[in-house]
Amino acid sequence: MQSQTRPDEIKVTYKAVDEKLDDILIALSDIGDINIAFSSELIPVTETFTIYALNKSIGGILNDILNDTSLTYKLVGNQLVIIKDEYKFAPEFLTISGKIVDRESGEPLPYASIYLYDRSLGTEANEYGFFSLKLPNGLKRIYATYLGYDKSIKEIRLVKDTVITVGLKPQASLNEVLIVDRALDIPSEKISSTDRLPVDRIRSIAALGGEPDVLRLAHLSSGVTTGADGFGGLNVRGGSSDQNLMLLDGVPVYNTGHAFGLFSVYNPNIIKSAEILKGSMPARFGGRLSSIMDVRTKDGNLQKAAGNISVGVVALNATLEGPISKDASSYIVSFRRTIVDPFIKNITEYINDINARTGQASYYYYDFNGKINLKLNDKHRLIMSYYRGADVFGNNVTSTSSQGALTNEELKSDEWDGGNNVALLRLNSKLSQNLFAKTSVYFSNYDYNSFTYNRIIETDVNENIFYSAGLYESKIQDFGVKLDIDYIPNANHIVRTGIHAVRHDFSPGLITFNEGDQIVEGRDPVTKRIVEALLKEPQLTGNELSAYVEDEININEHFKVNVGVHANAIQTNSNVYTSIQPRAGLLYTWKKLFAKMGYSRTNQYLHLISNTGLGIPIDVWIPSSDQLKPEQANIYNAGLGVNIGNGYSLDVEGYFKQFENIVGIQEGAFLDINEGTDWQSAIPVGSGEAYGFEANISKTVGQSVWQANYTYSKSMRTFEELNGGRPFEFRFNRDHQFKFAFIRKINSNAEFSLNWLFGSGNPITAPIQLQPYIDNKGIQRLLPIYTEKNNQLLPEYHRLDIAFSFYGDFSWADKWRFTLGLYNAYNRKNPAYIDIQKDRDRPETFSLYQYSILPVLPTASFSISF
Amino acid sequence: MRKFYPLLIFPLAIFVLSISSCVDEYNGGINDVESNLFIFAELEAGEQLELRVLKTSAFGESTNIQFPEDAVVILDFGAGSARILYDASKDMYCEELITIEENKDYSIDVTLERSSLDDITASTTVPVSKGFETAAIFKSSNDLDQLELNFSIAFDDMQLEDYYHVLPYFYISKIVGTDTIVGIEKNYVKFGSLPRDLDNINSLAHRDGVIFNGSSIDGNEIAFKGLAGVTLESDEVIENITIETRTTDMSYFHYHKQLSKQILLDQTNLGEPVLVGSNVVNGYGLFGSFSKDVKIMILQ
Repeated sequence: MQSQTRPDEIKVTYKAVDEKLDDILIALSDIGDINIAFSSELIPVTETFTIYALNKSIGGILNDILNDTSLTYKLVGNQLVIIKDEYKFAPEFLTISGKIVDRESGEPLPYASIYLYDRSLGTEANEYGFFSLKLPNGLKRIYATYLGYDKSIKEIRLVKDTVITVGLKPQASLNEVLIVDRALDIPSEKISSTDRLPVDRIRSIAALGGEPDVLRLAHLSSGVTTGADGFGGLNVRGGSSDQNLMLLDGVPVYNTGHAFGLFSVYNPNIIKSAEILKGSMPARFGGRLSSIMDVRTKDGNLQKAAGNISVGVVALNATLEGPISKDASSYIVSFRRTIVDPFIKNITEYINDINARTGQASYYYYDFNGKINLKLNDKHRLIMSYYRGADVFGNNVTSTSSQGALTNEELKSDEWDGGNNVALLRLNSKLSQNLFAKTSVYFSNYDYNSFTYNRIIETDVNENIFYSAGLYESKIQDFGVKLDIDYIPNANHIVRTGIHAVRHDFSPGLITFNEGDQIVEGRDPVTKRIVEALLKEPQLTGNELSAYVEDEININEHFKVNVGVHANAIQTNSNVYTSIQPRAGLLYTWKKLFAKMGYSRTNQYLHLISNTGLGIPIDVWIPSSDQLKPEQANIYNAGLGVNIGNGYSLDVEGYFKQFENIVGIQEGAFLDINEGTDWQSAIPVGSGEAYGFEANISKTVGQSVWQANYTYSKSMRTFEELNGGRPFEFRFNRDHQFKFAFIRKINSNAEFSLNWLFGSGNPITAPIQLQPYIDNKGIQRLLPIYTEKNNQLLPEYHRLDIAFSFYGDFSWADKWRFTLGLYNAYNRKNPAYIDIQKDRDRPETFSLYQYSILPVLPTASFSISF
Repeated sequence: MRKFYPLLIFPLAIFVLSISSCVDEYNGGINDVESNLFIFAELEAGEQLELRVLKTSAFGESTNIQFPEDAVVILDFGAGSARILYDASKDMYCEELITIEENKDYSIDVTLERSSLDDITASTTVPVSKGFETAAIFKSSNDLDQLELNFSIAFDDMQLEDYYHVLPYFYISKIVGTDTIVGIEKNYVKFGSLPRDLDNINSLAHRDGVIFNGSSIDGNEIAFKGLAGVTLESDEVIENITIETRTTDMSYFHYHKQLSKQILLDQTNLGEPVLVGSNVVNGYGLFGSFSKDVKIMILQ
């Protein structure tokens, strides 16, 4: 069979001088014996063309003629059709930019992914949902995803620079629950080791006291440890809790825990996204050695007024949001407060009563968040936000006992209150299609004080009064100005740069007294006011300046690099410390496999001296000073992974860290931190190293989703002044950790969740025997013998949390959710600390007792959104 | 009604578990640690040897302080060695025939005859006394209840690694007519309000006086304040202050400094555990030494 020649390949000889286009097309149809279809409305009517063609294809002739017009031809069946070519005069590459938002509320979705459908090009939105992609012109299928949202696919004819808004629909149910960002069903691996926390599912898991908590989500990540039940803060890959930069909308928050860390200050109702960066850091981050916890709050619903009320076992939470101007400006306010005050009062009164004491305790915490999001014009948006949260505690107990002629009157009083204020004014500017800037002015303050007083009056023939009183205060104030610029020349290249200036004002104070100091007469009680008058807190300041530049480039379809440098300096009283910190990361992807490695040098100018034992919680933040040099770290990490498919993914990562100039806590009672006391020179300064290995496996798509991870970790510290100069294990290290999280959709209105955490015991300093000593009255007494710091391991920590969630719609409300669960379901007595006491069965001997804090606890919460 | 019982068991069990005790005995292998010998000796130049031998108390053992009487205590004093015998009247091992001498090495070996406890050894070199060169003591207040004393003391030879324990004390004199009768009770100056400055001057929680490391003073005059800590009647005066300066060996200094920190911590429970340490091999305690210089200063 003879093959038929395509109409545009038929060769003809043709000549035309100053002919109109329609005449030429008709002539070519006749000569070639083909049909050339055209609309006279499309073709130019006045323009004439001259052409000489000798044995040339009709397609070639048409290309020559139409070259300078906006027309082209298309083969349709057996005929050639003259059509308009809208891409013909478009630049080869065009920019598509815009925002990725929640379709229902208009909230921008930070770090959402946007890709070409064939995944050949793509990028990630910035923290405000802005993105910019440079693409070849033509018809493009754009694919956007975000954790907890349905995917969105858009077709766009790209003939000019285009601004779009991509709206993603929140997932109503567990069709595709995503535990972490690695769950995205297209590879979106980051160069840095970052876990995106599934805040959209925060209400699905069993929450202590019915209070969903983003920090407890972070506890489920590999490489993250805490003390028992969250005490001891967040410790990431062998770093201490002060080495985490805890951010709220980009502003540092110094105290992130309520009730000593049982709950976090991050109100779940207002959180939009949360990420924890665990490994080497891109250059844009600085100021802490080990990790960044980046929590972003909602901007407010741009579409309609909405709200949420939730009540749990512990707290009541109410949120209201809505547009100030629809699709342009919005507000959101949220308030949370504990509701357990009467319970605490009654239960402590009852416990005191059965122990022949009188008194009661009181405790509450609260959080207020407010935010206004104003669209100034198409290019500028102003955000004002404020957070205030605080804890208030009081406990007063008195008791009297008699033994023969001896009477003992005991008074014990503790009170503390403290909280954060965080205020932010930020201008987000879209200076061009590929240039973004944010200018921020912020204020972050943490003010804490605690007072403790114990008095014993022994009366027989004489009256002897013994007392100890202590006051601890910590005032921290940061005032900062920041400018961050993102420049996106094309989809394969992002340049970030910025500058940050902050003034730190710190005034810590700690003073203790006993009866030997004679600050009161006789039976007069020592009051907080008396001690306050004797405390003269040192005033410490530091002016810090930092700048960075960071370049992220897709070298080819396999390699992506992020290189940069972060530089900073701080001025203390008579010193200026400077630091240049190189940062580098490399990501290699091949089909479903990826490999990454990174290095960063980090430093921090802030130091936290924190006690690990019982008594008043002491968190003394101080800036670097003439005595205290900045802390520094080198972080190395490398990992491999595979997105297996069907929602399964597997990755492993190893890390090594070195710390220098880190601070410790001197052995013995805390030094008084008072004006005129040389307390800074008594702070031990040392070094440390940490290394470990993490493995993660997850299934993130389907009716059942789960994640499991294992971490092996070692973290050591060495201080000349501590432990006889010998290295010792970091207090919150756990050699082995295994974590498992599981969520199962039961039906369209119910879910079941289960978390199980296992960690080998963390080290503590425990006495091994008791030794006698003779006091200055010649009386022999006993004291514990400590031979090594952190010489003992507490028993293993493990805990199972389970929860059932039921949800649906009311006719008068958008959504409701009821969660019922058990925290520590099998009542594991996880020890938090140990103490020496007289043996309960043999009072002539002493024994060590371990104290666990949280037994099995039912949890329940109910929330409605409207 | 019967079918509701299983439903009640669950919340009831949760309630019972929730309020159940959260205190358990901790072992972690510590209960397997056995007692050790503990000795305490502060050899004083010019005085006879006195040594306490005790046992530490392992957890779970009786906390009644035990004084083993069957210890074989051998003192090596360079020129020879001698067995030191137990003096039941003092609960100590004493030897009247041996006088401790400055700048001389002493070592001790203690064995319990009927016990599996490890033998212990320890040694010390008695330091040469370096009393202060000049001193001045001022009253900064005439408040009889809060008589404050300012000490200013200068030492020679402070560049060496010397350790000092300074114990100022006084006697209260009573004025009777034109006579002054000196009391017999020794009153030690109190240093409770000293800043707890660990590297320079340390007040002790369990002993009178202050201790400090001479090298950290570095030849400078040192000054510190103390309180008389007594209430004087209108006819009572303090005429002079006696300053006993002990030049101690390093073990004496470190043991008391660390022990004091530990005792203070035990009182406040606000701080970190202290590794007291010991120069006793296989055991605990102190085998230290000092030589003494005593000067009487007129109170200005």
